[in-house]
Amino acid sequence: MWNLTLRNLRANLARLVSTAVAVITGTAFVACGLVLTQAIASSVAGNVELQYSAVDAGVVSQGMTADGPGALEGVDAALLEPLEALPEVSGAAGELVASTKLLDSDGDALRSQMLGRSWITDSELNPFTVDEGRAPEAEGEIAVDRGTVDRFDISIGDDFDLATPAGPVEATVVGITSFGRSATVDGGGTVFLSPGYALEVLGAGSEQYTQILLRSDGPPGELVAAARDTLPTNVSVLDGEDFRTEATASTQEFVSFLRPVLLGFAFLALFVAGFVIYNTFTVVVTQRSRELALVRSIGGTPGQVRRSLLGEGLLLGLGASVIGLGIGMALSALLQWILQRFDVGLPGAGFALSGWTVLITVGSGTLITVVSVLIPAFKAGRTRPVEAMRESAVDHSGTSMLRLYAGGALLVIGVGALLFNRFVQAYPLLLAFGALTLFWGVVVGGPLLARLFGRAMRSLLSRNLTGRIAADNMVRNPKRTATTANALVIGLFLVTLVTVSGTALRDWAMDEVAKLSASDFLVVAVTPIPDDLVQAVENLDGVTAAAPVQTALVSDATGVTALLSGADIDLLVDTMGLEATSGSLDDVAAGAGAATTGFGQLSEQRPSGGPPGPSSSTTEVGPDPSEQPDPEVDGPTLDIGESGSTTSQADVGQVYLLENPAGEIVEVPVAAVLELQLDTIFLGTLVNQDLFTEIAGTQPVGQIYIRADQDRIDQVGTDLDNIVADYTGIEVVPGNFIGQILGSVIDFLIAAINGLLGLSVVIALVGIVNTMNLSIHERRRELGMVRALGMTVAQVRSMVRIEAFGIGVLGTLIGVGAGVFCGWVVIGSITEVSIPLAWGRVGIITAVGLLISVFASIWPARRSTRIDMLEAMAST
Amino acid sequence: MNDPQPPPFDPATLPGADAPQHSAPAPTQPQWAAQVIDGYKIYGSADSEVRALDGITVGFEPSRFTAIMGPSGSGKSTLMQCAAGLDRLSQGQVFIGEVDISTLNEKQLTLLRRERIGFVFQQFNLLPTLTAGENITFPLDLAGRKVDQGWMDQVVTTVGLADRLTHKPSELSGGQQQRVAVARALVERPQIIFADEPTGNLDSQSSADILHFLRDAVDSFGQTVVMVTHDPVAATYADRVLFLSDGRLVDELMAPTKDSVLARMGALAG
Repeated sequence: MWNLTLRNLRANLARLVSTAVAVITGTAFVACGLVLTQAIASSVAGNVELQYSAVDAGVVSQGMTADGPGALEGVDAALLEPLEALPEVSGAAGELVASTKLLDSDGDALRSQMLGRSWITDSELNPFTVDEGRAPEAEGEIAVDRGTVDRFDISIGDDFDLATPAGPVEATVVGITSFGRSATVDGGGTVFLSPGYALEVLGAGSEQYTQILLRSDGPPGELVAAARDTLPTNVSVLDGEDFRTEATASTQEFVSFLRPVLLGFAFLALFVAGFVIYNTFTVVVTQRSRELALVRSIGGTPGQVRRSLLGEGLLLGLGASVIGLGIGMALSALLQWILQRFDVGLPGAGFALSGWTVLITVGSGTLITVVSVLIPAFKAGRTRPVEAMRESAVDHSGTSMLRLYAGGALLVIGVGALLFNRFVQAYPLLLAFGALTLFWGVVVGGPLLARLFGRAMRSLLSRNLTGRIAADNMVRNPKRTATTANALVIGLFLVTLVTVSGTALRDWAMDEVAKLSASDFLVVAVTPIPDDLVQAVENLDGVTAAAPVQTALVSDATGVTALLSGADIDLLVDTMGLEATSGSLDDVAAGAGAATTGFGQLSEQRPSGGPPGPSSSTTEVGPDPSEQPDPEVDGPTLDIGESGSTTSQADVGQVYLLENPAGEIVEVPVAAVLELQLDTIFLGTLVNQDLFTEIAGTQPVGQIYIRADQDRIDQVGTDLDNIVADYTGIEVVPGNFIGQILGSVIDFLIAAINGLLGLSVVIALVGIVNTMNLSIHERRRELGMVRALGMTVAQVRSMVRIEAFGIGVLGTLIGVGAGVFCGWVVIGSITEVSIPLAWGRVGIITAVGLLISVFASIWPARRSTRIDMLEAMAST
Repeated sequence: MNDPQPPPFDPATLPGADAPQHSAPAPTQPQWAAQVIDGYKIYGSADSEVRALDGITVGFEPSRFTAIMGPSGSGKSTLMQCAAGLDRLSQGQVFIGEVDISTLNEKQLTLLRRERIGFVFQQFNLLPTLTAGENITFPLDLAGRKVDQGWMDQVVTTVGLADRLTHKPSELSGGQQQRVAVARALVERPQIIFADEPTGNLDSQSSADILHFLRDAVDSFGQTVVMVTHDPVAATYADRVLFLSDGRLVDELMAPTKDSVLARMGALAG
């Protein structure tokens, strides 16, 4: 039977191609998703491994290891020298990383995401190598990564203006660097400065390294121990492995979030492709039933027929999956290239083909193909020879009543559950159940919907003969029409659902945020704000009040860290209209205690063991909670995260036990609870400047809140932008920026998700074209006959076009309809307030669906009249 | 629909008219319903050349029933297909009435088939999604022409389908399906009906019915019918039988009987 299998494949090249296209498209997207995920993961993990491979111990501030704006926290540069002096230390380097931009002659940044790094002089600790020229050694010298050099045609000796945290500086390129096989670790390019120059420019005079790297020729354990003994308690020493884990932690989190999302979309693509593949094979088997019957009638057993078809599926699935894998890899390379053009490239490792990618892609592609063949193959095996030898090769298989009832029931249950959710009581589980049931109802009840739709279309087109026939053709095999349309339904359903509920979520969130008052402008920084900049802002024309705020991460007696802000309280009241819900802000201004936002930054731990503090690695440094000096105070701790805010409300009269740099405990009573405002979440716990210094020492300014003259607010905004333009890492944001950031983040997510879902819509397009072409092949005698009877080329084409378009419209209407309905229920679950549906966007999605339907109709229509009339009629 | 304007008809200008072969239409005869003049249909090229039609000239009289017979490969189906505008000659001319269809483009040809020619095929005659009634009026609907209800009723009654009009083809027997095809050909009152082995797939009773209807159409309505068949019994329903061999017209028989047809066929085979 293998012989028959091979011959079948060879004899029907056109059929082979159309089925292969379905499999290839599906597997290509799966491969692309897998390769990209892998690339992102390995680019992150692999780079860290390589970058810090020689590090035996890392010295970081405690703030670095906790969540929070740790970027402000560095390790004092003065600590490097005693470490270098240790006998266990063979090599040591302070590493400093900060946003830095190379500016062109117009003063615009060459690349938006560039980073400045201190050049590590210890060659073993330094993962970067100098390709040309030399390493930066003096002030005003920089080395630039090869990628940036190649892209912007930079040569050694070129002079550049740099925007740095310390403001604008001038520098000369003295070297070109690379990182392993790739240009650099930073996606946006890297600028290297000599260690001393980096402290001055990147550190903006803060005399802190981001971290200190140590290397030892002896046992790493001794190195860690020795370093710990030398260093104060406000910094942590991590062994090489922990250090690398720490360094990848945040990015790993991102990858581990991204991976299932990307994979989810890849498998969605495969799922949709599965529909197309399955459908194609059903058509092929039907069309071939006579051929198979011949095999049966000359003695082939049903088993042999099945095996022959399965063999065909196996060969096709395997072959097409391998091609799909190749195309998928090419596609991901193309995607990466495009991303790089937009400066969001994946640095480092590049992309590699792992065994898993091959296995999953080829395995799933082949499996789906084989399963898709299996069902029609069983049908084919059951065909009675006599029955199939008859002339009509058209699939008359009706839709089982069971399927119709099941589909109808699922639809009713799904809609019912969703309506209950919307109008009676919202339960998330019921919502998910309803949406899933509705979805399966659409899939299972597809033929029913197709039949209803065909009937409606027929009556709509009753005056037009070709339209009427097209409508009839559509429901000739409602199962096939439904399966074809379903591929489109899935994609459009999800796109609509994501868009409708996402847009509503965004509008709602922005609306909520807008209700909170705020300062007019906020200067935020990931680096210290230099004093001259603070003064420039304060003296700016049109600024009526400016409140610089010092920030620091402090830890309490249990070692948990949180954000502490210090500022002139009266100025803050002027700029952002700070108010207290309980207690008195005057007490805070007088230094009698702290004001808490009640936003979860600080909260009281209940004796019964309320929310546990985050399992931070810094706990090793702080003393055990049981050793607290005052057991009467209910062990107040600093707590980060939302879990704290909901369970333990801050209250006036609580006392925080905070550790100052000298390691002493400072008791800080809560004197006021702040009313929740837009900006207050950036304050964490607020104290006056004196108390701040007592707790955290002298710290740079991290934020400036600004109140502007309302008549000149636009001018002030422009002036502020100009002032900070020369500083990287410092930004001016308008007061309601959270709303805007939130909005743009959600918008970006919607766009990203829809972009990925778009793949499935494209596959659906291929599916419609495929099904139509096979239908045309199947009905070629009929088409020949109507041509003979006097149907013009234009009429035949319009007939085919209407049918293909009809399938597309069916898919679009069901998909968008179900999506809007589910989205509407989801919106109802978010909030009581009625949010208008994003009809504009729904309109766009519908238009895209219809456009795809138009595309899907062009090719089959052309093909339909290329059939030779006489040949078609003569073929038996 | 835009009908191609038929050029003024002048038999004297026909190339074949002044060179009559043994069975060719004489110039004095009345207008032909359809004519093939010096027709060649050549497949392949050079040494592998196959001449399906080899310089044939033939005419079909109006309001007569003509049968075309011949052994397999004699070119009888090709002749019909070329005469009916389903295929084009390699060389030569085809007239439907006064219209030289070799000068028509594809669209004009399609419209001509729709307006002036009726077809009955051996199989795959009907659109499975349309009812019997819709199938019958299909060419008229295509052309956007109004159905003459009186005539429709008469035709339907004649072929005995009055109670079957709302049935789908799949609900009809093979003989009934073929009767629908005949009714479809008749209802548009074409200039000429071409039937390609219309009884090839039918039992003898259904065959007799179909042939009877075609005969009746000629006698009662003055319809012109051309039928390709290999069945001598079917040929006896015709007024005139043309015999083809190797793409040429080799014989002709008026008022055929089963025996005379068999005799001619035997002679051809021998």
